[in-house]
Amino acid sequence: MLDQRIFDLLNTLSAAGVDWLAQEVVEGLLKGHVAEEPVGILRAVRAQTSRQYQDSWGVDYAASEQSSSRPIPAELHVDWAAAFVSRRLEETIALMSLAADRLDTIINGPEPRKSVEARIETRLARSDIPDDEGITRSRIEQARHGISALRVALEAWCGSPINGDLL
Amino acid sequence: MIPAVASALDAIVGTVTALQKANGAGRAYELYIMTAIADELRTRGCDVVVLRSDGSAIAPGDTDRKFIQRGGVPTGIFPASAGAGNASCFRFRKASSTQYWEIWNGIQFRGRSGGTHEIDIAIVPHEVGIMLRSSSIETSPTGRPAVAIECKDVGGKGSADEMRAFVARLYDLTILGVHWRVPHLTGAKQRIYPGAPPGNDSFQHFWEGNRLTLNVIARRTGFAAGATAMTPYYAIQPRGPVFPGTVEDAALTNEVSDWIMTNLA
Repeated sequence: MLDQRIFDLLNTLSAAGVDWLAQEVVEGLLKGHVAEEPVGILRAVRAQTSRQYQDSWGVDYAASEQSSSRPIPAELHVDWAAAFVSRRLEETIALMSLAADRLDTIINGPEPRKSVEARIETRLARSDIPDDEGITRSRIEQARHGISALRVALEAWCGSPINGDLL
Repeated sequence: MIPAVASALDAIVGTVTALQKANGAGRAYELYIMTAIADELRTRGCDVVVLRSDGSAIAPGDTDRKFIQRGGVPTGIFPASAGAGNASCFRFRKASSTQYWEIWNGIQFRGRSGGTHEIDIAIVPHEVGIMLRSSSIETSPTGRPAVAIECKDVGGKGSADEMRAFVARLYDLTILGVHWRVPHLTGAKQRIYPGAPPGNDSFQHFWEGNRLTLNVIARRTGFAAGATAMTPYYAIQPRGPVFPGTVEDAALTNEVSDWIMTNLA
């Protein structure tokens, strides 16, 4: 049962063109908290992948049983969704920023240069956007600064009164 | 609608329009992992360059410095004659070697069934890239890359089904010595073709194919309990959560680079 205020957020996300984020909000709320495979198990599994012979099976770990999920209580849906939306966008923009930095380093070489090429930023573009000129790192940073305003707006929304019952 | 949230979102999404694409966040994640590996190889002495889709390298002094990431539906490799407006990739060579390799993002590989499978990050011999770019039409390679990384930038934890899907994909891409009789596998004596240099003979069996290549599922979030039961047998490395600052993030970059430095010519 979703808190009905979630639908306001979903409509807002969709109107902004980030339907994928609206979808992730719904999926996250419906799925709830899922138990994770512990890091120790993952390491043990990886160690096993390098063995060369099928008869050298040395099982020194036990994969967990398939997990079940724990639902997110409806009264926490709005807080969860608000935190998720701002964190998801912030993290995605951070990935773009780091990738742009690395591309500059790879193209310019390891030494910081003072010549003109060091000041030319590598632009990130997509092949499915016609004549995409791409975005520079400075535009990515501009988007990153916008996250603070988004967080404030989402926090205000979380504190707004509930206009109806839970669906 | 929530007006204040809408306004803040517009400011962000209007600046980075790629976020409006259904796979915008996923592609950002793939680019993050791909550039981490390329940059780590550079620090280990490899010669690493960015290639435009026409096969030309971006030089430090070039003003046209645009890394074009594949968007929309996954495709094969576009011909060089189509120009530089399609997806970019990396090319690298170890300091001690004359063999070049390419790092691709979001390319469709053709399997022995004839079906195609997208590999998020793939490393293949440079000669395969040269051959495909010399074609007159968009073409998928047939066979299996030396490194295959499935990137999962999704909120949910990795499931056993996700692992099964990756194993099945690799199974179809694994060309064995016995497959030379299959009519549509015209180059079945090689593990990937067209264009693979010597040393890329087809595999003897799936087990061997899994161990002569590196296969990884890298996830922003971790794996659900019970999701990894298939992975040791099929040599799929589960990696997660892979995200800036996590232990798994650094381990992924280092260990993939270790494998490349040890196992690729």
